[in-house]
Amino acid sequence: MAVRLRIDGLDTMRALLRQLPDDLRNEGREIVRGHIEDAESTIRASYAGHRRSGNLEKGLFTNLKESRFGTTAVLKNRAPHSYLFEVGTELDRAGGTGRMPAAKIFIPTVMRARRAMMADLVALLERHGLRVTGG
Amino acid sequence: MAETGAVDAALLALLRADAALLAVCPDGIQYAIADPAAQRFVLVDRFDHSVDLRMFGAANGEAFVYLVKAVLPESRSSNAREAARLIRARLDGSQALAADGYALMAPIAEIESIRLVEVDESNPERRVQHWGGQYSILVQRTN
Repeated sequence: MAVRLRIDGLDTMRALLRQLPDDLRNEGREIVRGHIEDAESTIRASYAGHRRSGNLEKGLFTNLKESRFGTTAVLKNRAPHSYLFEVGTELDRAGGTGRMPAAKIFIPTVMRARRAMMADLVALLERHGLRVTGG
Repeated sequence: MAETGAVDAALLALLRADAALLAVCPDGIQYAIADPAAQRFVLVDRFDHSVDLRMFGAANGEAFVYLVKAVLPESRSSNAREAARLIRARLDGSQALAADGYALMAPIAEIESIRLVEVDESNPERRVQHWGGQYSILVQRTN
């Protein structure tokens, strides 16, 4: 006697599973884009409070790449003194500033944005019925 | 009640106990901005602090990221390099951090290195070496 297991709705499930990566990619893209834009505008606004030449703000840019597999976003500052500004100076620079402490603008902002983005991406996966474990 | 300054203080104490590091950086371990008279020192500053509310219910995990760099006013980089090596040897993988009100949850970890040469705009011969890293400290409140 032949034994047959019939599962109704399998075709629907297959279709949903095929669709899942597209949905995740599209929603994930908006999450990544939103957080990188927030981080960039926060950093830009903080730089404005330290404005001398405006080069720190001019050097800030986001490189956003989207593909059918996902989205990557890289926020950079190409101003030569941006790193020195971030981690602090020792010498008297640009007239009378003296020793300057680390500005702590770019790195902390990006760290906060990354944490918020990860939390939103985890929430996205869980909304789609996936379980996320680990750090 | 745990407070975050205890982790700052514990990190400073850990570095201040390193005689070899103090020999290279005799003006000591300074926080945020060095004393005006200090020339050869290690600078520590807190870059980030976050509380993980999901960890172990009410006993929050807390993550800190510190900038730790040697600052030496010289053209040659050999002393700064040695100081950075000593900082790494002291901190990276260390489980010796003792902060009041906290327990260390993982060894201290270097997450990024820092090396740059600052040049005096009015005297290009005058340079300052900055060499060290960013260090991550993960702790849990115990009270």
